Amino acid sequence: MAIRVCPDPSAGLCIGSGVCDDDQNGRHAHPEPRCPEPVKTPSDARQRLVIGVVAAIAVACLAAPIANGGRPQIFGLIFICFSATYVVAGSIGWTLRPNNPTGPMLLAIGLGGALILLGAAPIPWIGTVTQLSATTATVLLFLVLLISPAGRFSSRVDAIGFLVLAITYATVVLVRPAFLSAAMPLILALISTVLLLLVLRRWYLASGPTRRSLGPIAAAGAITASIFLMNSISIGFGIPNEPGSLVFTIDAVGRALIPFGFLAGLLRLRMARIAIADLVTELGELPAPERLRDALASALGDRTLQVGHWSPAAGAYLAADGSAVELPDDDQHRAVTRLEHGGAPVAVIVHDTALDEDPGLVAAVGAAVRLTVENERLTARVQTQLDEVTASRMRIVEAGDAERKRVERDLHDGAQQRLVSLSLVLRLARVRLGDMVDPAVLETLDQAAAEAKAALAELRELARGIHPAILTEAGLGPAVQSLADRSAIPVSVEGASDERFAPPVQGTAYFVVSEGLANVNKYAKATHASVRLRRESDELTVEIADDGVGDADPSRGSGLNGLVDRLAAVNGTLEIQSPTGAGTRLTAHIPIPAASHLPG
Amino acid sequence: MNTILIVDDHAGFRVQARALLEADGFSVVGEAADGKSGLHAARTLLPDLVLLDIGLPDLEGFEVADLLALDGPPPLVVLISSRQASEYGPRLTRSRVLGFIAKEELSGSAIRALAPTV
Repeated sequence: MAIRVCPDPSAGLCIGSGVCDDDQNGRHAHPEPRCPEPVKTPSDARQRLVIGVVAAIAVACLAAPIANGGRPQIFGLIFICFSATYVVAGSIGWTLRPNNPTGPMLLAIGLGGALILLGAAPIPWIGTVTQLSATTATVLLFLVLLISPAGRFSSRVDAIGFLVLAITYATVVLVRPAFLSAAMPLILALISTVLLLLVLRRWYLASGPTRRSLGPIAAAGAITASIFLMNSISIGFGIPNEPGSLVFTIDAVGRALIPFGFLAGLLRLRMARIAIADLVTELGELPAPERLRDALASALGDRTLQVGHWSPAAGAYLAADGSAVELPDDDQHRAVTRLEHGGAPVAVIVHDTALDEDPGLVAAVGAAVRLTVENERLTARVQTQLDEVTASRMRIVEAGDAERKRVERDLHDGAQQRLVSLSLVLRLARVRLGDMVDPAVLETLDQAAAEAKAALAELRELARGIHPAILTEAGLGPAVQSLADRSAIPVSVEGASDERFAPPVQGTAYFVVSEGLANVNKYAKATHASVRLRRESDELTVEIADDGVGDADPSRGSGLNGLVDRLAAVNGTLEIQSPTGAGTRLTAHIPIPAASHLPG
Repeated sequence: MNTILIVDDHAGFRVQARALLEADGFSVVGEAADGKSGLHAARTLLPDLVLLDIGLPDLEGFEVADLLALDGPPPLVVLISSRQASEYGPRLTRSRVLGFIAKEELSGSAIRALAPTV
């Protein structure tokens, strides 16, 4: 299992690469974490090498006509083009993927091809050198076909196949054993067939992103093998393969196309990185977890890609659907990239190992996931806090209501009952005394009874201010009607039914009407007001309108702010329409929670 | 025609009401402290008039009055409460009772004003 973990100091979040081992304590340790390397510009050494190769080819091109008696040949021109395509593709590949051997190998093939030009020079050892370089270039072509784009053999079959092909080819071409000379075309045909099979096998067995980048390379392999096959047939049947012949032209054009296959293969992963970068840029709004996974999988061409978010409760990485993401134990095709925050796990991406070929790509994927996870974390935190605040505000209002109700009940059961008793006792005394006593005593008793009655009235008024008993005893409609009845200016009431609501709903509605009418009486200079209650399926609308001066402003301490707060506590809203000189209309919308509707 | 049943959960009130009404010439034939025993007492004692508190511990006075009305010729019922009539809104006006007296207003003359025959 390939596991990546490494610090990303800029974001405080970790992402990276390194093989994961268990340390002595049995914990996962991440030895020598490696950061994804940024895309490098060509180093000085590399630049010098590329310039050297180009210079060598130039020398070969200039020297070739001299070596051939001063006559430039079509043969030489074609080899210049052939070498140039390899050099260009090789240096681009090397620049894009500095740690991948494909680029340098293409350069070397280009150089080897150019050296063939010198083959006709009248130097004793030059023939051996050109033959060696041509053979090396061909063997390198076999190698690069079997290791690109990863830069290493992905299976033992490929490694053994390459060795067999290389040794066979070198033997046939360099040693040229006499007993094999007749079988040469057949051997070349066999070599090309085996090469083709190996390349197609690699492509067939690869999956996801690997297959995407292998496609053009497999095509290059097919061209290479076809050229070999064609050459073996032309040798076997004596078909001319000289400059100007059809076979020679097909051979040259085909060879020139091969390096672009490699380049396309290398670029495929880079295209994926660009796709991720675009994806991250386009994710203006918070992507849903499953959307992120789908987008990453699609952009990377890895349908099996999984994104898991660490759940401390479950002690596992969970996918968007809540199922645990299984981390492959030992799988050469699946890699695990872990994202950490302050040493704590945040998320994990399980992806095709091919993505490891481009560290920048994994960094881009990490950034996309990090963005989502951080967004999600922040959104979830804010939402949780909001929910908590909303719930606690509701609880505070309910607790306040309950407490007021309790105080009203205590007054009713205590002081009020005693004053009632006192009134009765005084009346009883009055009855028992009859007319037998001094009228002054009777008068005192009457005064005492009047005082008791006044005290009781004041106490009732106080109790109603604390909590209106009528709300509990008779419901919202009668309670609103009683508010209207006590108003100093005439108030008409509409929709005051006997319907009962949950205490927070009817308490809030009553508070709205009470405060609204108090405002009308205090500020509106109105001659008439109206209250309208309207019940809809999940909402109670309370409307208080007057014909006063309007211009009500919550910021002037008119009690409207208290209304807004009180309504917000039950997720309600308040609309205020108060144009100057045209009266005021308050409209409160109070949500009715499910099952809060009580029988009348 | 002057027997009265007092149904109220406050013992102190019952004592004072009984004394007050008896001093005023009524005959208090029974007392009950909750709705159910009030119903039973009304059915067995057959008083001319029931003084029925609205805020009873088990049933509301309104409900007791409704149940009594099912029995056939109902006794006259006067609801009483230490709250004011206005705090019961339309429930009071809709109930099938003779009338309502705030407890502190209770007197023989208040009852006679509602039920001249008692």
